[in-house]
Amino acid sequence: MVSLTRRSVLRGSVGLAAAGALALPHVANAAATTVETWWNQGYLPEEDVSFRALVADYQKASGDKIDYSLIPNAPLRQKEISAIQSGGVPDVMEVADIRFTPLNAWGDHLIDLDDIIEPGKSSYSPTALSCCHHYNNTTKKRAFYMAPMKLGSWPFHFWRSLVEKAGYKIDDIPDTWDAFLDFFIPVQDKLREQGMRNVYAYGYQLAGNGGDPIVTFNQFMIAYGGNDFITADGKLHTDDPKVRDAAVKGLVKLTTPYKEGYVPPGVVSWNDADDNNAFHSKLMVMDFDGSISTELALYNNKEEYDQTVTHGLPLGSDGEKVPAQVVGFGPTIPKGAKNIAAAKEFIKYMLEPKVLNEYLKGGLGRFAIPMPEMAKSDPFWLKEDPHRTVHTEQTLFGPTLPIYEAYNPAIAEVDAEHVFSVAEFDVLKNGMAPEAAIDKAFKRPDEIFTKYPITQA
Amino acid sequence: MIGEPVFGVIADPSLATILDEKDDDREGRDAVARPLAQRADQDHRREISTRDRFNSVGPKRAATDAIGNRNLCLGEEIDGRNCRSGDDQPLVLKIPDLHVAKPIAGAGNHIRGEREQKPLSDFSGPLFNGLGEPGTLLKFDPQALQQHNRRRKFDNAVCAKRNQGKVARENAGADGYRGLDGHPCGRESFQPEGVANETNSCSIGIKGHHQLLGSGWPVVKESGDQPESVPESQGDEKPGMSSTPQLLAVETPVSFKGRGDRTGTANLRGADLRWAIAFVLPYAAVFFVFVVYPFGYALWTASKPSLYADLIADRLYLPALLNTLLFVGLGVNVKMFLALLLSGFFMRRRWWIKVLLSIFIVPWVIAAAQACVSFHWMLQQEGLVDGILSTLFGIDGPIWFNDRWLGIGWNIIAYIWKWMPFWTVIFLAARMRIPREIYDAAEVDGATGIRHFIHVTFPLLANLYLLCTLLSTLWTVGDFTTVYLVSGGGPAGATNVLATLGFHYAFDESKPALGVAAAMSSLPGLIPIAIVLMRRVQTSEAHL
Amino acid sequence: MALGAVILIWSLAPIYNMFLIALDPEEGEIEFDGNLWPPEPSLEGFRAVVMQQARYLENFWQQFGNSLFIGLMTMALTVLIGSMASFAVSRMRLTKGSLLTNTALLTYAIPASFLIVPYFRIMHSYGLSDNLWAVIAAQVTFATPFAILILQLYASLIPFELDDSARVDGASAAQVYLRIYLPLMTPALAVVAVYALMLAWNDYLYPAVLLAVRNMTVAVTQGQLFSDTDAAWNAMMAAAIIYVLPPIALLVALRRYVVASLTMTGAEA
Repeated sequence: MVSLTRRSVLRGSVGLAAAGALALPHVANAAATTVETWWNQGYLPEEDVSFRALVADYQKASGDKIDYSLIPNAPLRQKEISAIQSGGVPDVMEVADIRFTPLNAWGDHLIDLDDIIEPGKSSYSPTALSCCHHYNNTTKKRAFYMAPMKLGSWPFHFWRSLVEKAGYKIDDIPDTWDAFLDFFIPVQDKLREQGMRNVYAYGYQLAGNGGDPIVTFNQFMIAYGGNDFITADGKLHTDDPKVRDAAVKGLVKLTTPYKEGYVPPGVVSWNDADDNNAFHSKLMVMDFDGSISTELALYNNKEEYDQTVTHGLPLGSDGEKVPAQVVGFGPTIPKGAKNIAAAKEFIKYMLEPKVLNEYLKGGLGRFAIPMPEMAKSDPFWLKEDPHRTVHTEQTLFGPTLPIYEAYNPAIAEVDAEHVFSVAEFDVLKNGMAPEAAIDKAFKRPDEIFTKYPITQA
Repeated sequence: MIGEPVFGVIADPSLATILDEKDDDREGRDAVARPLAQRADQDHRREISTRDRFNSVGPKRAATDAIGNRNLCLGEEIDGRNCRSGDDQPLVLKIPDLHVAKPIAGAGNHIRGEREQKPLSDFSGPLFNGLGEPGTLLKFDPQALQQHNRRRKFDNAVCAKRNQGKVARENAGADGYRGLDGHPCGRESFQPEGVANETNSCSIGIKGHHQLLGSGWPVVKESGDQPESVPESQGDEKPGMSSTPQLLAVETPVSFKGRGDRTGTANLRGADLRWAIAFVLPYAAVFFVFVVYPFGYALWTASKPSLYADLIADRLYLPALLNTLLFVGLGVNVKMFLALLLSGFFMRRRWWIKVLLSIFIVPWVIAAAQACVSFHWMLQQEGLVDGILSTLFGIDGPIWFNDRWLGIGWNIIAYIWKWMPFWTVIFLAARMRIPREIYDAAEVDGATGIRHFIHVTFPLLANLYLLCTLLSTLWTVGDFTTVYLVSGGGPAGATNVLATLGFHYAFDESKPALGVAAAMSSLPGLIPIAIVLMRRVQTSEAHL
Repeated sequence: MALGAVILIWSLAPIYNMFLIALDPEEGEIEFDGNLWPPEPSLEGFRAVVMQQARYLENFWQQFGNSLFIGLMTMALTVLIGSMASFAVSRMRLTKGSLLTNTALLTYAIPASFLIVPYFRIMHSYGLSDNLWAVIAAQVTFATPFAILILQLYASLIPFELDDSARVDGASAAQVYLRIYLPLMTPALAVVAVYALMLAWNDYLYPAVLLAVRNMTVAVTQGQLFSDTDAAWNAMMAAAIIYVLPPIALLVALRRYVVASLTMTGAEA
């Protein structure tokens, strides 16, 4: 690991130095201000190294001081909420969870970043921009409240070794949604026959906590044609029969394997980390999880890493590619920050294509860069590593839609209640019929959305 | 010397060791300053410490008493006014008001006493050979007194416990001075089975300072012309008095403020008052800065009524409320009960029990976060618990956290595992304080085993048990770490308790106000418990 | 005897589990194979922690130092403030002293974990955000009432005549406090000290919310990562085991006093 780190650091700092030199003209020559920054501690150590290099370069170039803290995800989430609540906000906060920006933009707790993003708008992918374009209920219009630095989507991950052990070949895997999923059932059967007592086909996240179960359900719903669940204007369409139908199908597809024993029974109490652990210990063959974190955790172990396969979303039943949900992460500037101008300069720097590229590459490309041109021109993204290629393609070049939170923050509140996990529970444990479960689940969004009227598209 | 257990030192009843004075001061102390009668009035207002554990709150026999304090010379009367001990040291005994109850026979083990002021002279017992009118000099029989005091102590202790509730109500009188030995003795006194009732147990309001001189009598020494004022305010130097651990004589009667004493003037004056304030100031500062402000803020945040409507409507709240009741109810009570029983177990004096005790304390010492994470992992599919189950019984454990009730059960078990050692040690300490004689007396009476526990140990520990239960309840309602890390709130939030639910609302759903409201919704339950707790502490004699 | 065995197993099982995980040689995975014995015991986890190479535990020793600092300061301040207040109330018999005890107990009316958001806010307004002293202050606030309670109960066992005679000797209140009260109360103070240290050592929620990473304590770092991402579980459990050592060391050191308080018999000649 050390050697890889060094290499990536070397690469990162050289790149950043170069980028920094290029960026110099853009950096305002203000008096040295200290910008207090809260940043998400990386999943991989390399991400932190990369960030530190970025900061060092910026400090040299601009003369400002960045007083940063690298905080793990869960406490960052808690601190950000406490900070907004109590007023003790830093200058720059990196978003820790997908609900943060839409809800706080709605409540007018964030500074809008239009002046930073508008100039370079064309270099971003449209979905990336949607991810940051939130509705502010006080100003009654949408604006950019987060700088899109990291983009991620949800591919499938599975073990080549297990598939092959079951006697199948990767190339045999079908390309349409249902067939793709069903493929793994006989894989489990075969593996069980061979004596692997504890192996399951899928590791669907059905628990009532964390963010993954929500995305999982939404993706299944989208796959069956329910992408209009919420439209870009922020309106909810639970009354659309197509949406309802898709939701029911998705619910069935998720719960039936569980009932039939193809999903580990413990999934209903998993948190966001448990599925990764389970995947690593080969408890299941296939997992559906965001970005390529699952594989990158095995980066040290080259053999294992190569045995994992990242697979994009298969085609829908209509033969068209299923739109992938995309999430964006990046920094925000909360209201009440003391050094807004300096903070904006810092963010502008970070959004420089070269700087951003180096930063993300230093982090092993766990997140995709939101700039399609950059991704195409740098072989790192689409040529060097199969996992990364699939993920980048899915995030930038396939049909995508932002996670629903971008359209209307109301869904964030709905998600906090895990209405669809409850529906899954109802079907699995309480024996409810899927249609009834969906109807029950749809009631809550109906109620909650009335609290969030969006008057402008 | 100063670190030694106090009580062991005061074993010597010999009067000779009472006062350790230098010779040159003898003159100063020779004359008893005032006629005893003169003092009676003044002393009437004084009380010897009411904080002594056998002297809790109670009404002083008020001004209507015909009898005030008495001064009894325990030595030899000289001149009808002065009093000398055998060693040529003046020694005067102050006896405050006596509260004598009349024994009513025929009530089996109980003697109903009635409260009645009786002159000292009416008392006849082994203690004094004829108590007379004020000023009478008496002979003092240390032996008898010691014996008497032992019994008294036991009686006092048990009787006090029985009566304290009643007495506290009765004795909320003007002066807050309760009988002399703190003996409640109002309506009921308890006579242990088999102990001959040769004295009026619970009937004598005798100052219960049993430790002193082995006699329990507060010893007051007159000194020259010194007015009987509070020494603190004068800061007077009394050269020649010995170092305190050995010395139990108080040179001048110190007026102690009993609770509610309104007849005396403020007893803390000048320098002392300043010191007292200085001592209290740090905590007061901490309290105002770190308790009042957050509490105020929390209450203010939680005061919007619409929040509570939202709470009730939320699907997570009511189950969490139920879970909290279960978690607290079962967790606290099972834990306390087991702690009580185990404290008995750990009383035995074997070496391996001591080792076991050290091991037993380890759960308390391990940081809660790690211990709870360990529990969580123990209960995963194929974790340690399943491993044990399959090795021992050959069965596959269920998915523990998929089921609400199993999840709650394991939360409770983890909680008990972590906190039981602490309370066991507390009970153990209390048990060790129970004087041997009580055990001896009980054994003499034939109480062993269960009866011993029910009739002797448990009544003595009962108050402490209640106190601990109340305190633990308050603490458990706030216990966040256990549930958060062991079951994580359970399948779809079904095993949340209020603490974790508040956290969930605040940080997972980004609704901090709702989180605070969820937490505050438990206040109607907690405030009464806190009040009861405070009352109990005040009126209790929690430790022997 | 059987009871002893039960107690042994009961107390040690989760700790044994911690060892099981800590001795696992692989990072980032837990081999849940129903093992009762570690299949390939290795000290890799411990090594990684001590050398600060474990993921998320790079600042282990600094965080350990933070925990130690918070714990010891809490202990010292609780003992100091608690004994002073308790002395004033019980020995100097301050008028309305019971008021102090009552209000102190009122602190427990609202459990600590309910107050985390207000605390965050006030620490910010006092300028103490991300400061170890914020956590120390919070811990002392919640430990002191219990300390006052214990000290008061214990002090009632010591006769007042000692104080009075010292006063008569001309001791000021402070001298009584230092020369008489503190020495005689040593066992109770030991108990209070251990309690305060354990409270601060054990706590998860307050350091988590009030501190940032560079000031964080070990207990928190580990608790947080539990629900976060893949972490090196073996290293984390190894860290947990190392983290337990200082309180045990303290208990051993203070054992004499704690035992003294336990074995002091009642006031019998």
